[in-house]
Formats: sequence, structure tokens, C-alpha cells
Amino acid sequence: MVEMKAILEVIKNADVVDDMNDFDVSKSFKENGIDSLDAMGMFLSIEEAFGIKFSEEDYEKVHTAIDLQVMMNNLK
Amino acid sequence: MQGIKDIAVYIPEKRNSNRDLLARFELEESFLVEKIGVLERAIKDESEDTSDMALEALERLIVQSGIARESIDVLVVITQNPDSNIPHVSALVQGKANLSNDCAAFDLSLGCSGYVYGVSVLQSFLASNGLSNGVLITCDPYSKIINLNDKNTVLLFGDAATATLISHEPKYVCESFVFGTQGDLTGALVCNNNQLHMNGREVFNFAAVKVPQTIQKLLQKANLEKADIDAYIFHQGSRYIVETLAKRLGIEIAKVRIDIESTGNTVSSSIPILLKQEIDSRVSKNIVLSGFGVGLSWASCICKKVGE
Repeated sequence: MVEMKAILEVIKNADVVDDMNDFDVSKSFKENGIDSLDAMGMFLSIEEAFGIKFSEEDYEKVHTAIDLQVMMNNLK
Repeated sequence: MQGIKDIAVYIPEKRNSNRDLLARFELEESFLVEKIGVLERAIKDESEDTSDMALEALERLIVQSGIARESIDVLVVITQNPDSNIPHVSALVQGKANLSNDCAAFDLSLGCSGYVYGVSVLQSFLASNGLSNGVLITCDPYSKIINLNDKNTVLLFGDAATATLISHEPKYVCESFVFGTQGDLTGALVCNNNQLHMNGREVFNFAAVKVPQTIQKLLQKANLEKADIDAYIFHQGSRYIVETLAKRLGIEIAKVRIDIESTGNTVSSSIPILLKQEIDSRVSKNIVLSGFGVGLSWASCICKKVGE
């Protein structure tokens, strides 16, 4: 089971969010101020931190941190 | 010892603005400036073909370096967008430039890793055949294959050509080359039906992971530390990828050259365009050159200053 706390830690370290206190796990990454290139960098950081690989299909489906957690737990 | 003696650059005058595309692709200006890094793209004239641009770069090199055209022994052109499939662009350029009939001429089919490959091939070709002067041309005008409705690619690529003179009494010598290919990822950057297709995430992941590994390998091979490197010239894929590489390698951003704003990603020409500035100023002693892209392929080397 991947905890949201662990996901948020990786997002924080990826340096793509100005203030993690304002980060809303139910809002889209775009609404959280993460543009498409930062999203690629953030997903790579998640892949490396958790030793997983997102398919293009997975990547297209995930828009929020909650979507990400659900997908990662389905992958595990 | 043969190495780089001079570099000439030809960038077409015409520019297409990326700002004009912001509304169409629903992009913020800050994204364009801070992430893509390309504000305008150099675009060749419709009447110009690849060999015309390559010839212009060669003619500038001849004037700039003072080399006699009859003394050019080898001409190599790096391109994947030739005038036509047959003949090779280097033969067209050899003919148009009235080079000697004793001049060897061949093309290398490579994209963004092409310049580093080309320097290695040409240095070796000259040495193994006892020849004196070689010219390496890069010219890959992607405007020929860009789909103007594809926001993944239309904002990135620009047209340019460069010509590098490799000869005796060089200013810089390239060594400790490392190369590699990941052919299972060819689909990430392809041209089908005369249109470029790029899987941006696949290419980004490849570059962000593979290039730092190859730079570590290069430094080990050259027996150098990061502190020994004065400048890093990465292929200018986008501002974001160059800055990502600097971050992942833990190198000072001041050592990382970025110049993409008014030209775009000029494929195999992006490294020699920046290297020309280093060669002209002769300040940097050890320069890392690293090209990566189509293939997916990568090639890196140390470009070392000769003399003081």
C-alpha cells in the first residue's frame, strides 16, 4: 500500500510546487500549478522513487495525486 | 594531432515567433520562456534545400578559416533530412563548392547525437588515411518535416547549419568518446509520411536518466572530476531538459551553456553553434559535449583546449 505521505514527499523533492501547504491532492496537477513539463519530471521522480514504470495509458489517466495513489496501488 | 581548428555557423535570417502560437495551443508565456526556452525559431527559406544550407556553412568556413578549397580532403555531412534519398548531400555540396575530385565525401545518418559522432569519425578517418583536412557539416532542417499543428514539436525545432574544420594545429581536440544506443525506443522520435512524431515523455525520461549516466562514464574514462570541467554543452533539446540535466548531475548552472531562445533546437547543429563561442573565446580548458536524441542515441566526449 503506497501512502499519500510518501507520494507527497517525492512531489516535494521534485521541486515542482512552490508551497506544498497549498497542494491539494484532489485537484489536478495543473490546478496545483504543475505544468506539463514539470509533470513529466515529477512522474519520473515517482517512477525512480518507487521502482515502477508508468505506461503511456496510465500517464494519460492520472490527473490528481489521488488518481496517482490509486494507480500506484493497482500497479503494486 | 588533428582536432577542431574552426567552426562556422549559418542560421537562416527568417524567424517564426512562438509567442504567436501561445493562444492557439493554450500556453502561458512563462511556460514558453522558462520551460521551452524558444521564443522564435530560425526557418530556412522555402527555396533553400539542405545542400544549400550546408554549402553556405562551408563557404563561411572557407572565408573565415582561410583554408584553400582544394586542400579539403574529406567532407562529411550529418543529416537525416537530405535533399533527396539519393544522392548523399555531401556529394552535392562537394560539387557545388568545387572541391577537389580527390575529396572523400559521405553522409552520416544521425540526429542530435550526430555532431559528437561526426567529430570522432572524422578525426579517425583523417588519422587512419594519412589525410590533413576534413570538414564536418551539420544540417538537419526539421522545418521540412514539422507538422505545424503538433504542439509537441512545432515550438521546439529550428533550422541551422554548421561547418567544423578538423585539421593539424587544432585549437581544441576531442577525446574520451562514449557512445550508446537504445534501439528499443526508436518509436519515441520518428518521421512517418514526412512528418515528425515525438513522444515527449519517453524522450525526456531517456535523456534525464541516460545522459547523467553517460557523463559519469565519460568523466571516469577521461580521468577527470566535475571540478575539472569548465563548460558543459548539452544538445539544446529545450531549456527544461538542459536545466534538468544540470540539476540531476549536480553541476553549477553557470557552467552549463544554454542558447536556444532565438533559434530553437537545431538538432545536430546545436552543439557546434555553442562550441563556436567557446573556441573563439578560448577561455574554457575542458568542455563536455553531449548529444542525445533520435535512435534513441547518445554520444559524449571531452573537448580539450590545445596550448595556452
